[in-house]
Amino acid sequence: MAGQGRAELYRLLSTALSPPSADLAAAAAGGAFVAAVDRCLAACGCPLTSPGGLTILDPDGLSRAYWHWFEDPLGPRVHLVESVYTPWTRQTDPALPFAGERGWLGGDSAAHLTDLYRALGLAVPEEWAHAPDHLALELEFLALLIECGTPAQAAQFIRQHLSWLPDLVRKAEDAGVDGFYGALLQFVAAVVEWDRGATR
Amino acid sequence: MELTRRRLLSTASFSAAVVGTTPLLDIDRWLAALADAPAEVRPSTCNGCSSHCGMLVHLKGGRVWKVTGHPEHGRSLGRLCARAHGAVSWLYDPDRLAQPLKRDGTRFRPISWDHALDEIAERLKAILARHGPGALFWSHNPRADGVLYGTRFMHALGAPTIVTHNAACNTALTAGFGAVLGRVPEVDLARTRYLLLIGRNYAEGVRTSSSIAMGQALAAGAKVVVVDPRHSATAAIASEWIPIRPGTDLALVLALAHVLITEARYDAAFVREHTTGFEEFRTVALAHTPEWAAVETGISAATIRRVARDLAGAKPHCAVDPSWKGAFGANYLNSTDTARAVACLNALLGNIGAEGGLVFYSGPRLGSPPAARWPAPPRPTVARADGAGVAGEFPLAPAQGVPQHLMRKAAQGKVKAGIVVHHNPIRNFPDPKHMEAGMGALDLLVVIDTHLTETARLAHYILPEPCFLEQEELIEGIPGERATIAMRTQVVPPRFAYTKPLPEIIEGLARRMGIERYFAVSLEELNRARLAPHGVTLEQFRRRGSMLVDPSTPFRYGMRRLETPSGKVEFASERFARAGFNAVPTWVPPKVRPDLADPKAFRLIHGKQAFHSHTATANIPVLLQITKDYGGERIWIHPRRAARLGISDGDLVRVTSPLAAQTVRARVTHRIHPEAAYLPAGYGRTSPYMRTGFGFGISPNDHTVADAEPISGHAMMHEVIVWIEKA
Repeated sequence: MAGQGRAELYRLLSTALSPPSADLAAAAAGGAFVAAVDRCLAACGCPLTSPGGLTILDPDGLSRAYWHWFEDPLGPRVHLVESVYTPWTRQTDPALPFAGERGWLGGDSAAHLTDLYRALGLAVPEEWAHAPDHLALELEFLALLIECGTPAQAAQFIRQHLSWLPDLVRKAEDAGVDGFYGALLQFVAAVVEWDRGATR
Repeated sequence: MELTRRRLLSTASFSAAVVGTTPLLDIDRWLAALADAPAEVRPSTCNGCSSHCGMLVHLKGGRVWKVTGHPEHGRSLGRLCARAHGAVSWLYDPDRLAQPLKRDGTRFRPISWDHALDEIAERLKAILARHGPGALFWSHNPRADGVLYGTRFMHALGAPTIVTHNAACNTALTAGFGAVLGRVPEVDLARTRYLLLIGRNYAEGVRTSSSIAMGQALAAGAKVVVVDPRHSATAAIASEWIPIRPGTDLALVLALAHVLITEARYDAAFVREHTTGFEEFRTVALAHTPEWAAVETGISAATIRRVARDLAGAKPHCAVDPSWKGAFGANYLNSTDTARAVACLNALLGNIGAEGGLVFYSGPRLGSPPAARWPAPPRPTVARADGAGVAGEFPLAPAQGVPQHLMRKAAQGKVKAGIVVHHNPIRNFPDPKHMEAGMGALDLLVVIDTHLTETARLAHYILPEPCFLEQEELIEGIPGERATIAMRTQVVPPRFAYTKPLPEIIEGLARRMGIERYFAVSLEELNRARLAPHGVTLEQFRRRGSMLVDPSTPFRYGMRRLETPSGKVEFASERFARAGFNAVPTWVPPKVRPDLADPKAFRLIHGKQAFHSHTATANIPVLLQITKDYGGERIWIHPRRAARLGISDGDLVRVTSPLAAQTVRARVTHRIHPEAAYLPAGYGRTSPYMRTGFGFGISPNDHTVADAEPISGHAMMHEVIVWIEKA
């Protein structure tokens, strides 16, 4: 049950970090989203509580907020992608001048997950092809690992692929991300941090 | 209510058994395996500047690992410059445009490709129906598919106005050399014995094959003399640097001609056999003595005589470089006449077609689809909106156009719609407010690009292209002693699913506009047809990327019939005379001059740096870091002038003109003419969405009036006076 609750929690958070559907907006406005999160927290024994910011007043504004914070080229472009926050590669032999720099798509994490998804028969939708290491995909993969893999594998994935979340939260704070998504990013980072400690 | 969880990762067979069998789960093990993985090499072409050098892309695990020069490409010859290594980062830039956008007030919102193309086509049809095809323009920095698809699309609509980056670059050169020699030749660089470079900067306006050839010439003992107000990187490796007062190259060239003629050092036999109009040119040259030119240029008469005699001593294996933008491409009121005079000076040296002189290369043969399937649209019959080739406006301007004049027409409501492809005229032409006023007045502006540039910000629709290594483009032919056939291949799949290559965008618009019959042949078929004369299949060429072939007209030294009306060198141009200009080049002073009594007044000049290309690369972090490491954005001021103004090296200075007041740090250096201040041209990005380059450095375009030289219509980008003081 604890495992199922964790998987369900990550799947919920993954859904919330995807471009919002009308369904999500309605759930966030009506309290169903928070209720589902709270049920998962209780089921997996997590002491965290869902933040108040996850309940919204304006369901129509959720899509606008997602577009503004994460996708709008005129907006702050807070990228929800691991590669952007980590060195492009840890390999030492590429002769690219930016190879060890942060700030790029398609880094080690993206290439690793591309190979991993392929090996496991997982297909990434084409609109996500630019970022196989998008946080929404990583959380959904973590949910699958919790369901089908071993605790050690899930712990390893958290350690290797979700250590960048504090940097994301800092970036979001600097950019002024507020409301649902400000609360969500802080909450995701807190959940992952709790899980890291719990599974160590 | 219950929330439906989205399933992003679709799977039919994910299970504990599958997870348990994969060794890939651990990224450290995956990285260790990657280290031993073989590299794959795929050919393509660079997009760091418009030279499109041949590039070999080394991939590991599907990612670019390094790039090297393609040895079988006439412009790279196995070498690449810094821009290429930086430009690869565009591929992984998270700020690239990812989906079509439509303006919504002051913002943009996403729109599907179908809706975007439907709406653009409807709006274009309405504008054409109401205002005619003269109200539409196409603007680009030409690349092969833009030229072909853009011209076809515009002509099919009856619209003639296609403008390019060139009015900010080399249209004076095109018009001037075109009048005298029929077209612009190249220097037989590796074999020259004496090379006079007036503003040409091979070491910073890099084409690696030229750098290699110049190195060969120097190693073989050639004398290379650089005339430039600035001690450029080329001057640093040349035999001699002769600083010149900016804007007076024409005076120098006329005086050099004067010496050759009065001392009978010119090639009289060549002039007799291969030229027309010499007597008219002789009359003008005789009036421009070295002593007169010394006053204009600041170069002593003795130096002018020495250079002329040295050139004559090396003739015909010598050249006065046709330059590019250099000093006489798009810079001064007298630039077209300077280009003409330089062409005439070369003719006096009898070096046209000579080893080590000026040569004309042909491109490769490229096949074409059958005309029945690939009909050419009729040429438009209405006048161009930018005035190029139009009596009373710019009758001698090359077809590359006059974009800054076009924007004046747009601001007046005479032009209604534009399609801007892979080009950023608002930042690359003088006076951005002038350019913005024109673009902003349009009823429809469509921008096709990869980034949210200064121009894209004003668009009604932005259509995102894939990055240059993500798409196959039209095969290019490049002239040379050995010609090059090259193709930009798709090295990696497009990272963003909702980007489309230009041919697909234009074909989609053409279908909606009812002109699809001009686009019945696919890009792949076009490329197959282009390769047909060479017995190479497209599949083979995709693996090869580039090859050196015989040019369509075999290269040989010697004088051939030129592409002028007479077939000869034309010292005097009837075409110029008919258009109301001087038949032969004569002295025209620059439009503006700094007040030498004013300690703060300087002529502002700009030029290339070896690690940037115009403004396009200022947003690339690794290239901008070079700028930062070496203070590359600083304004150069001569120590004598700086001392009078109390400015020390590294001080912040205020640069003021009627158009702008900005601050930038000073580089106090003897490497600049005292009357000039040099500012590199590529900085000062004003689009906050070009996050690396935004707000770094300043641009000379912010201080330069939007104007057009009357003959070729270029932007007169050095005709600007600024006042500099310590900030």
